[in-house]
Amino acid sequence: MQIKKVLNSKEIKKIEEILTRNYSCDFKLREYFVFINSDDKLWIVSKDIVKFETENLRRINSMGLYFGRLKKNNKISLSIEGCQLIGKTAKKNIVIVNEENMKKFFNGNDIVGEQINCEVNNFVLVKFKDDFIGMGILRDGKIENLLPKSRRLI
Amino acid sequence: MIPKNFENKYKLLFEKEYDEIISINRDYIKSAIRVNTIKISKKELTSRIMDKGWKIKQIPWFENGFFVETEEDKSKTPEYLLGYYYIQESISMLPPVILDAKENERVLDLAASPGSKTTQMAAMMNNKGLIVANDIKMKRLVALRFNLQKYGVINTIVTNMDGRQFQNLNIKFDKVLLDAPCSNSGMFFKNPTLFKYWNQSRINEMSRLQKQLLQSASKCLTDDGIIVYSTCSLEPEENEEVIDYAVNCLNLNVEKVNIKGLKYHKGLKSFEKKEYSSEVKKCLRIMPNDNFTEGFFVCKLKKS
Repeated sequence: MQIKKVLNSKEIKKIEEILTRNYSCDFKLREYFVFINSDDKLWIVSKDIVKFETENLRRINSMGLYFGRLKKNNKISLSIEGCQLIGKTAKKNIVIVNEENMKKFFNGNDIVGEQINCEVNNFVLVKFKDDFIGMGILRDGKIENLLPKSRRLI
Repeated sequence: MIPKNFENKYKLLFEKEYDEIISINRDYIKSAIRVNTIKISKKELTSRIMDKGWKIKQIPWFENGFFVETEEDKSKTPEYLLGYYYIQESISMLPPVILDAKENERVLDLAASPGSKTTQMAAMMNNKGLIVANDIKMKRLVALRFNLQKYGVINTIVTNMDGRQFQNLNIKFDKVLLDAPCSNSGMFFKNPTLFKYWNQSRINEMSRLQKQLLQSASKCLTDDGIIVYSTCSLEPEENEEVIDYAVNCLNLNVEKVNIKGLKYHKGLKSFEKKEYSSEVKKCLRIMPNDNFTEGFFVCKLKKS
């Protein structure tokens, strides 16, 4: 894994603002060590790791958790784990689905659900009961499924 | 069909218990899950799966592990897909319990893929401290990375090295887990078709590799560091012989471990013509009929 850029506190704050704007959440990204890899993906790592001397490690393949990807239009697409972290305090761009649509979502299909403060053509957090199950895009009244194939049922 | 060489060796090894152990099949192995406390509390998950009608029973040796009985496919529930539990053999939860990694420690998982024990340790460490999870095979790292992501792990660095090279890096760890690559002979009992893969020369090869890996692990250890060595093999060459080498050549002592509710046999004092150090009997040799699990071997070592 190549680290393209380790984000400084100012850059992290900017991403926190984007997260707040998109999801009305109170997520403290500053509690993590944050970096962007060569695919422009945002990764988060426990700050504890930085305390340890790791410079002698060789052949590092990956580090921490894939959190999401920042888009050029200041929108942010999140991994399932990113959704779960953000979802705890999010109040906006959430779609609540019933059991039938939850199953459809895990099967990789587009779905419909109850929209909570959603913006058209934006990323939305998909929620079933208390669980944030992934990410979609609200378009033409439907939620386009963004669940990665490796995390689907089929 | 059981190979004749295997039968001869295991009759010596199991003595009176041979017939009982050999008749064990996969129906005897209890299915188990581990709650991923990084994402959900034990109380919340157990309540959810019991509401679905699953029968659950606490695994005596790990507080977040449960034997489960259900008709439902455990790998197709929302809770599984979201990383709330890991489907894991109950006995494979034991090495991290013995290692007992703490929040502020540096831990090396020398042969980590597919990550069942790495994710367990991360949860036990509350996602703090540092785990370096290594595997030599790039293909196996895909599964490791997938699981680290799915289970929400943020305290781990994944490396792709030959574990034998770690000793040259000049990095020290408080604890090392060496769940060593092995012949897997402890798993044969749950699936008799696997007996055909049993091969003494492969076992001897694995034994050499295991000693080299253990040497590397010992060189990476802080002065009062701990290594937990485990295999899912019941071959003395891959277990007692490796620990005998650790005691005699690597200045490691075997620590006695007490695990509540776990049945086990002591490490062998000798096998065929080989005599082992008396320290070796402090190891845990777990037969399939002890706890209705795979056959397993585990040992806690400390620098002397």
